[in-house]
Amino acid sequence: MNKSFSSKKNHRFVSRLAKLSVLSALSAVLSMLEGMLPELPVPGARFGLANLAVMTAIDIDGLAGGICVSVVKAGFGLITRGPTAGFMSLCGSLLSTFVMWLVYKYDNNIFGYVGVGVLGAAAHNAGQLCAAFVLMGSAVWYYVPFLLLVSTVSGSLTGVINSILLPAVRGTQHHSS
Amino acid sequence: MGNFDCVRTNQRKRFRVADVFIIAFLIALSAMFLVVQFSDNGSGMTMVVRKDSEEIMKVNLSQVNEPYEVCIDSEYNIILSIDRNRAEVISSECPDKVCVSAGVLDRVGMSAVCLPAKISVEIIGGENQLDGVVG
Repeated sequence: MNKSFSSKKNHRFVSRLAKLSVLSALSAVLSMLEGMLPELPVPGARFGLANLAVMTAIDIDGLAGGICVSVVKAGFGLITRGPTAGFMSLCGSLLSTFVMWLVYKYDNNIFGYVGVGVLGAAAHNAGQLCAAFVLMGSAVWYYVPFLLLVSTVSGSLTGVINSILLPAVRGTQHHSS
Repeated sequence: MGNFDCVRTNQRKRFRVADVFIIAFLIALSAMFLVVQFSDNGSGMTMVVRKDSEEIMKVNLSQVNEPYEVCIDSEYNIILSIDRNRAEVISSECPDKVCVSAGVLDRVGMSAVCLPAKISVEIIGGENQLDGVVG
């Protein structure tokens, strides 16, 4: 292994690390901001703004990046909102990351950003509901229809924002990894 | 749908026809859940309180004559207000208060869940109301 190759590899690693760190921090800030927004009329529903950072990570880094950001976001939830919230956040974001990555990679652009956002939001809610079902049992079924409806709205919102943001983010990259 | 392949581009668009299908599918799915949940309209109403998915309290709401309040002890204490055919989580010490924002529970199928306290309050159909079941 010659020196220049090694340093090039190193450079790519540092560049990935830097990007994912920024996105992770961003996801923590976004979920905090979200907590300050007025509550939605549906109990337990949130806008899913932090999904913006996850979607960006998937776009520029792939599955691994998305998982990194999700885990950091869940860790932040664990510290600020307790173990239950952390566990819920982890289940939701991991499922949503996986679904968005699958769509991103294999859909041949059949779906727009709005579709990816809605699928991600629905998967996020589904993951959280499954976690809640494990913890609580059947009472969580009541929340399913409302959370599904909210995910169509919040997913469209994050999709539209991402369709504006992502091309700009990509433009700042020298090479895609 | 077939001609989507012909107009496919390398650039992902903001919005495509397929997105409408996803949204319509989700709306239909939630409508289905709503119909199933609220179609169960037996005459009796029973409130079940569970902690860690174990039943800790059961009240037949159709036989409540005077409103009263119950405190449920847990890691975070929860106060329930119970009245004839309705129950409500009126306060909770938990941080997110999702259970309180669930509001008044007055139909079979409604529930309030407090994840931090691992407590759920669910309204189920009345017991011994089997004369209403057909088929």
